[in-house]
Amino acid sequence: MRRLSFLIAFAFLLSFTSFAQVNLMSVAPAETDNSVEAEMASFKIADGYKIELFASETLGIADPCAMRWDEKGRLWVLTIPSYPQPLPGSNPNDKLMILEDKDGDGKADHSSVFAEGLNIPLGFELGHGGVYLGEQTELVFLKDTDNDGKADSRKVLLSGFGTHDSHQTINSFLWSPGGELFFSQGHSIYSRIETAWGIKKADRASIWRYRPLQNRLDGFLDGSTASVNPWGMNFGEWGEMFHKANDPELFYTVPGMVNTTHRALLPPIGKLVIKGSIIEIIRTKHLPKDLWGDFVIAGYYNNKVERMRVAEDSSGYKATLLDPILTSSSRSFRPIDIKIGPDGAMYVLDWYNPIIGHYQASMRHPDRDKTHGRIWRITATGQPLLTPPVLAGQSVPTLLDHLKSKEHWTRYQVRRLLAERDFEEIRQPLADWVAKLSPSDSDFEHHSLEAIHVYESHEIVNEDLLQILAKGKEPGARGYAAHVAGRWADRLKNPLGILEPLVNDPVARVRLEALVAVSDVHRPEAMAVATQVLNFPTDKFIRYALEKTVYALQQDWEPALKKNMLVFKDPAHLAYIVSVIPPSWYTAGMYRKLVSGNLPKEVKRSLLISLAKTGGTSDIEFVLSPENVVDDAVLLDHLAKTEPRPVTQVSLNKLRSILKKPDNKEVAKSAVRLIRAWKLKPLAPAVQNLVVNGQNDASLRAEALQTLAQLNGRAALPTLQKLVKDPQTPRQIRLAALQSLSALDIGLATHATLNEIGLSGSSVTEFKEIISPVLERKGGITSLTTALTAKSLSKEKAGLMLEVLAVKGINAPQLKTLLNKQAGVKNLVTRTYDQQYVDKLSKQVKEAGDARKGQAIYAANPSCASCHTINGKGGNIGPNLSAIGKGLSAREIISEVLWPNQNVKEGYNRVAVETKTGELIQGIKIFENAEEIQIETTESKKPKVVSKKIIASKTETGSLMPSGLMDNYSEEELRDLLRYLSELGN
Amino acid sequence: MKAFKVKSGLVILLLCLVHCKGFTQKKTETRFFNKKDLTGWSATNMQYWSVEDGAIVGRATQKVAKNQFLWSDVKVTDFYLNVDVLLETNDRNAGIQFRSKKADASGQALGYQADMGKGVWGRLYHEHGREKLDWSDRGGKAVKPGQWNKYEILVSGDRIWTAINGKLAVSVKDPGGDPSGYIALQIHAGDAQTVRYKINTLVHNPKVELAGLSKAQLVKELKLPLNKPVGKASSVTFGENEVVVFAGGTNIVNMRKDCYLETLLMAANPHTRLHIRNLGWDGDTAYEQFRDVGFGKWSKNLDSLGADIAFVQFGQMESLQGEAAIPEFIKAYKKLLSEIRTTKRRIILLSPIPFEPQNLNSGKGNLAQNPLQNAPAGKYAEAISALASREGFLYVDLYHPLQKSPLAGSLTFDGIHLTPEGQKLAAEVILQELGMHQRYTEKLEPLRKEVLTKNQLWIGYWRPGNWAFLGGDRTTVPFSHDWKNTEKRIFPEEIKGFEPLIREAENRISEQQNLLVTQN
Repeated sequence: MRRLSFLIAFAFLLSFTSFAQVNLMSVAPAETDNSVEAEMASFKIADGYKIELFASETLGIADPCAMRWDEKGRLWVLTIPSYPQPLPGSNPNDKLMILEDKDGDGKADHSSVFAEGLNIPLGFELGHGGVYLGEQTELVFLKDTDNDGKADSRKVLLSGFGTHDSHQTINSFLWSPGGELFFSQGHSIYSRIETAWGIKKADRASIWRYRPLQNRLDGFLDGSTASVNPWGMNFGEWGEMFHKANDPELFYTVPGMVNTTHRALLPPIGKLVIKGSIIEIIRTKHLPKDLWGDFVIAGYYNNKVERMRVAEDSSGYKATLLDPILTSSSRSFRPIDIKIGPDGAMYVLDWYNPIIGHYQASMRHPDRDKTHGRIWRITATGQPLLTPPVLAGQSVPTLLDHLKSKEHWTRYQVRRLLAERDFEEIRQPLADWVAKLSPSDSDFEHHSLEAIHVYESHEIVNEDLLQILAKGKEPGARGYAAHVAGRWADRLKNPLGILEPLVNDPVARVRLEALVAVSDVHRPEAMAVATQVLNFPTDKFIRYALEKTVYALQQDWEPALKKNMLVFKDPAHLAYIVSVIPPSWYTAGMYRKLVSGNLPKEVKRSLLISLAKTGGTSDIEFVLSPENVVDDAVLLDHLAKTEPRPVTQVSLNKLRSILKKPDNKEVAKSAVRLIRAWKLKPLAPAVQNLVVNGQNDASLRAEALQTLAQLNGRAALPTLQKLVKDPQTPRQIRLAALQSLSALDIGLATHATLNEIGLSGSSVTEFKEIISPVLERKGGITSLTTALTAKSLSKEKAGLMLEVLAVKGINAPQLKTLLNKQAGVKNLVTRTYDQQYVDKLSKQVKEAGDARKGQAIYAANPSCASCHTINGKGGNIGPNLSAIGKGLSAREIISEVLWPNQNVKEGYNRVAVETKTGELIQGIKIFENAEEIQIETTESKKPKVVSKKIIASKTETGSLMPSGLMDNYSEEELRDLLRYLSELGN
Repeated sequence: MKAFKVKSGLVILLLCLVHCKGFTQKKTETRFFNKKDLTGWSATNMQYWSVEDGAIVGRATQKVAKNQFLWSDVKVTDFYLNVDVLLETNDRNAGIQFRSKKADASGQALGYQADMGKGVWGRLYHEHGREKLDWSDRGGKAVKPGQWNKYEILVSGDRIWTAINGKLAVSVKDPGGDPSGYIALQIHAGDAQTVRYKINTLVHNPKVELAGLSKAQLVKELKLPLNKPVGKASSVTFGENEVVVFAGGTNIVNMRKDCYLETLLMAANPHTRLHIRNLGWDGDTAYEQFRDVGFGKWSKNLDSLGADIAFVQFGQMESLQGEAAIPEFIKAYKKLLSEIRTTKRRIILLSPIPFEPQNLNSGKGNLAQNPLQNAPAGKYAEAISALASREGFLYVDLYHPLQKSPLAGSLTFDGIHLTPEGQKLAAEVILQELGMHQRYTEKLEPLRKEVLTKNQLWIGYWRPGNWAFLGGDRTTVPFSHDWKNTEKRIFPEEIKGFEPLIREAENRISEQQNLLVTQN
């Protein structure tokens, strides 16, 4: 027997090596026909639009990754054939090209090389008479000094940007209206840049803002706190900033523009179904009115040009997904940049590549296309194209007048051109132009806004103009005025004088902009101004920005507060900042004084917790007073998370009285948890009374039971065992008893678990509740396996248990084998990775797979939807499968489903934590800092926050998706399921 | 041999698995003294030396004009020596040299001496050099004059202890002192005398314990020497095939691109075939040298390359934190340097350069305050200079020469970072400090070009893009693997392709060096 299996293994080894040529890692097989015509035929465009080719690889733009228009209507295109990794000794030759449509037929007919020999630059923008280019560690400035159309000067402006992943280096450059250069970096990038303001650091994804005239760089939202791969930002008509994640999410960036190293996850304002990058906001007469103001997004993942509508939402925005403008059935159509052109048409940059995965395919995969690249032009049918104004070489007054244009393209170009001029040349014409603006003109404020952009771009302060905007009728004008006051804070005499009324503006969006601006005013009293935003209702954006502001201004307000030199209009405002950052020198007496005011619940709670942390026994007594805890269970829960504090008889009595009359069962439950956490043994009898009193609410009794076990240890075993065995005990309490037993005695717990399986457990959910306590304990799986070897489960229960293991993502091969046997699964196949098999199966999927049946199989298997989402339904813990068929080939889907550990998607690595008390927690890590780690588990929608203090060990390997999920599915079932998956997204 | 070491060092660096460390096996020396004759010993005047009753005897029957030394040919670095000595008469003087070398043709010694004789017993002297290092009299108190005395010497790294008759005598930490050398026995110049050295044992790489004291207790006893080594950069010599590294922030990074310092070093040392590796990393400070997962620490990078000489520059960006932060900076710098310090490695600290606030940006009053205006880079330079002399590092002052240069004010492109012209000037200052008066001329341009090519290869090898996939946290995903055979990782193999290219580039550098020599 042993000999035989050896032979089989040997044969398998042979077959493995001999079929090693088969390509498994292709993300999508290359199209058979790569012609422009074939791609053209793959498009399905929304009604009212037309798509044509503007340029292709014939003009030398293979592997294009970014494009920008210049004022002459020429299109600059960056090409990166040396992506993803130059070969040793080769000189990378990536290029910045210029395309021109000389005969004006709507097709580029001429191309020239502006710069070559570049090394995988991912983005650029024109400006100051040259080109800002992000290339590896550097932000460089290229210039053509002798006007021969080629760059001949190269200056490094900044260096130290990370290069750990060549598809995430600095990218998507864009000018803000005020002449700041914005760009971003991705998840695997760590940057350290030496600037006069110190070393600017950004770990992982971050957004950078560069003010060229000051040579000042600032980073925002690092730590991937506003998407793991931001790629593309844009600004609304009143300067509102948005950015797009390369993932589905879209963000309103403004709340995150507070300059602090404090990290917090910025909430997105909407999302696509699947990945997409770049934002172009439609602001052209040529395109249909219905599209104006909409965000157009490059859906490179599912071969679409997506469309989102963005509407105001309190102090921010919310976005909804509309039908796409363009879809393609070609997997090689990869839109990665979109820009409205001078003629008002929408230009779409097409990376044209069957492989988009940087790490999902080999760096040297032959299907990584190196020879194609296209630019498509989408126009509105029946709408005339625009004739762009002549901008090159125009006088300053003429350029200024173009700032009144309705066409955003024109204004964007003009702002850049004016920023390039010597300020002495524009000072007078600009002043004259501003003086001539008529306040009665309906666009007066917007024209004033454009004028202030010119001043900003020259770093020239114009307080008069700023005041006009600050007192504007249009909220956008006031909001932008606030933004500028923040930018100029170091040069304005009294920036807070301008900002204070705006923090108190009737419009929430203005208040938010003003708040963010105040965070740039480094004066103690700025904190007192910022907190005035609390005079109005707050929302998620304002709360986000305010919390960050407290951190950004900490060095300003804290010393002043200590010296008693900082006055707040409302004690609640001081209470707020102290609730965010309790100063180290704050005494219990100070907290007592603060907390006496009329405060929002969250603020009061935070102060009480600080008081409990710093105060003596009488303060603890105060914190536990009925007036504080009577309706605030959360306070007690937070206290439970602090280090145990000294507790007097008075305090004990206060808690005891809660247990005695548990009117508010949530408060009572929290009190019980606090007693558990602080190990208040004197209250054990009171807790025992709660447990045994059948009159009490079952959930409360269950909670109390766990506290009792914690307090009394093994002495609680008789009570636990009595309750757990008795079918009369409410099930909830039996489950709690199982939980406690598992922590005390895994053997007894296993026994009780088997007993409970007999009592309840007829659905996956019920079964999961029963076996989870043992499974989530060290040694639990082994104990359960041993017990089940001695005592078989019924066929049905064994089946349920298998499903629970799958749903929970637990890899327990021995237990699974045993259960499969007991469940009577006969045609159980353990599929070992074999390329020949994958090939055969993928052929079957294509030829005979039935997607309808596959869908039914998917729906019937709860373990899939417990983690994955398809079209909005299902869990979020695993990758979204809505368009998996677009991103992965059948072959790849096969390996993902059958051998999930082979290729774990970024951000989906399994993390498993064992606590010091033997609890096992596993899931996907979504956030980590020095204090805690947040793990998304299959158990609840909310991430589990685990303090690092209680972690005994942590492992981060493989996938959460267990292997062998398909073991009891037949080949036919598997074939159909795969067919269903591979069609998703089509 | 050395070339191989460099190469394997690089591979190790790349894979970041192993931290190369020298062999430190304890070993008793058997060749030292055979107790019969003076095999393995030599002296300029052998007539003073003989072997009697298993002991080496130094005997002067009449007045001696000059110190006499009997040299062993066993080289010592870290060792323990146990000798019984008898000095007749006790008012004469003798001693045991260690980690020493011959100072001149007459066989005079340069280096440490465990001293003996009335009034100097058990003291540590630096013969021909710094003289008194540890002059306490506790060893003298343990001596039995005119009798046999047990003398023990224990040397480990930069720490030296001696004991007489089991009582601790010398206890010195001598950073920057002599790293290794030979043992020699002395008859002091002067009246007739006889000194007997009965050698018991010599052990290499010994356990650190002496006079009944544990390592921790011995370390506690350490103090700095009375006379510290003089950190003169001009004392640095560059040996055949030695590895030279540059480390620091962006100004060092830019040396990789401008290549002036490297070119001058190569031109000044045309026959030594140096392997220069620029480990500069933007944003490195004494406080933080951020490296991605798997890349290996800053100090380990130096070690795995086998750096013999290190040019290190920190303090520029740190000085933006003001004067108050100097103690914190020095503490961090000292700690960082201690990580790369070995007895053999020569470490040269480069001072910060002067900031040029007017070059920060376009000016025109677009800032309320220029942060470079009051940054005390000069104060940091002074503190680094003091650190260097305290700790025995070599120091090159760039701050004052650059400040005094006629080009001052136009040496940086952003107020912080040197322009190519600035790099050139800094390189010349460094060479001058090293006592190599090599200036940059057009003649060196072909050499500089080859250096640049080598550096481009080096950066592609040492800090390639996509590190996450090469050695970071994404090595398991398909990117770095073969597209057919998914088990096989092709990226590390591919990167190895740089190794022969770097060697070839270094050969071309050698050719250029030779050309310069033959042209002269």
